[in-house]
Amino acid sequence: MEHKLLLELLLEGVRDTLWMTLGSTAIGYLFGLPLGIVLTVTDQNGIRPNMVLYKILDGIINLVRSIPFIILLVLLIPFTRLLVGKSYGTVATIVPLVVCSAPYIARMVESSLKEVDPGVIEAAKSMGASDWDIIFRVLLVEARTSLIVGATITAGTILGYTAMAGCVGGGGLGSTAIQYGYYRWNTPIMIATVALIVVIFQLLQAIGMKIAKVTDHRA
Amino acid sequence: MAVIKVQQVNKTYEQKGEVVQALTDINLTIEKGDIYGIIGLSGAGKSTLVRCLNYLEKPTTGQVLVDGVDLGSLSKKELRQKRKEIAMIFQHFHLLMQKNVLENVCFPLYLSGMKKEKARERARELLDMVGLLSKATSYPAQLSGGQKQRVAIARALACNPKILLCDEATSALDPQTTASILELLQGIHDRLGLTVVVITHQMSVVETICNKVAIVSEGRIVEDGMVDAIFSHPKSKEARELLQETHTKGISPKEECSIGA
Ligand SMILES: Nc1ncnc2c1ncn2[C@@H]1O[C@H](COP(=O)(O)OP(=O)(O)OP(=O)(O)O)[C@@H](O)[C@H]1O
Ligand SMILES: [Mg+2]
Repeated sequence: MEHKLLLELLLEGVRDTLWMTLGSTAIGYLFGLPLGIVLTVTDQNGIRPNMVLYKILDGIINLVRSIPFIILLVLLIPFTRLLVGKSYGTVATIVPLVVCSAPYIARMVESSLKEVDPGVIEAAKSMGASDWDIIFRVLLVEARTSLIVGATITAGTILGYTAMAGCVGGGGLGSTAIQYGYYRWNTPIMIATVALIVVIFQLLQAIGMKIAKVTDHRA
Repeated sequence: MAVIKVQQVNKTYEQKGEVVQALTDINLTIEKGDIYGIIGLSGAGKSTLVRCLNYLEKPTTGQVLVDGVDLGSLSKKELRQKRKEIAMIFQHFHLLMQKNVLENVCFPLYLSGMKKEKARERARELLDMVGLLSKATSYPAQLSGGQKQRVAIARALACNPKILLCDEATSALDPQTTASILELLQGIHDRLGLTVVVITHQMSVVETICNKVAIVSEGRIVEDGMVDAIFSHPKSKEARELLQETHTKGISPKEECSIGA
């Protein structure tokens, strides 16, 4: 009985952690990817420079990124409650995770897209490509490997943050570790959760890097 | 009628308050069927000039007329349409590294809204023409420089352009490969009746395929005309120096200077 409960507890933790990590990464990209594209395009060396827009977005992103996640978690409680009706649990944790990761993702995307050879962009222009063509047929295609690597790193970082969210009532392995390991001094559970987090992290990284490598045709 | 007419073009760049005059009072007439060489030393302004011909670079003052149409008078959309008639190839090829050879050639066809099947069929024809059909499913990273340039040429010809601009298209290639690419360009010119603009810093390239040439130095055209005439009676100091360079291959730059002086 004791063992079955323990196993259930850990499996539930794994499920919630994966769900929070992948869900937050996906929703984070929903906001971060377009934001990163806009940053690249409106940069002074971009295909449609717009210093005002760039500076505004740049400022907002830096502002959000400068707030430590643990503080953001608390700061966003009223907002989270407004959005999902409560401020604790797995779904509620996704809100601050997205807010925190979207600007980070935007930066990752921006730096990936800026690695694309300006010569290839110029060649596309010489063939009559529009700005949309350049974004969707050149930038996102040529930066693919770097974007996948970026997403892999992001998912790893968010995984770490889900554990932190566990401290303030989020679900997942992080909260299991806090509740059993910290409050109740249950060392075996503590060790099991840490081991599981490490395994999940390694798996995510291995899968992401593998995909990046297989889809890269530069060598 | 002139295919390309450049009138009183000036181009200045402003960098941190400092003004660089890249082109000064450029006038140029390129007729249909010309293979027009533009030659000059590094930094002379050749790339700037050729990029003005398809308005990748907008002249600060002056006009560029293509088939009698002032590129400066076109809307963004009209300009993009016009660019499909003015193909360009580059020193470093600028192929999509994440797409295979066939898809690289399809790229401009997709831009024109052609369906996948039809585009691929057309791309295969073009690859056959440049002798690379067997590499259709290879990626650019797996090709030699000469092969990459052939892909770039196939891509450039995909939309049946009237003009082909070549910015140092052979400068990254060894002499033998250079010769084969020039031969290909000559053949395409003869068969398709294209007008070709060849940017280079090598007199030998001009000698091999151009009928006319303009010599650019410090942003100005110092001499232009028929290649034969300039080769036999160079008037400018720059023309003589460039000619000297081609005919004293193997001599160190220092000695070359003293001969030129
Ligand atoms: N975007 C730019 N901003 C500022 N200066 C520029 C820019 N592009 C070119 N220039 C300047 O204009 C001049 C001409 O450059 P350009 O690239 O046209 O020379 P080039 O003849 O093509 O040289 P190369 O043989 O090295 O390619 C140079 O002095 C260069 O520094
Ligand atoms: Mg150049």
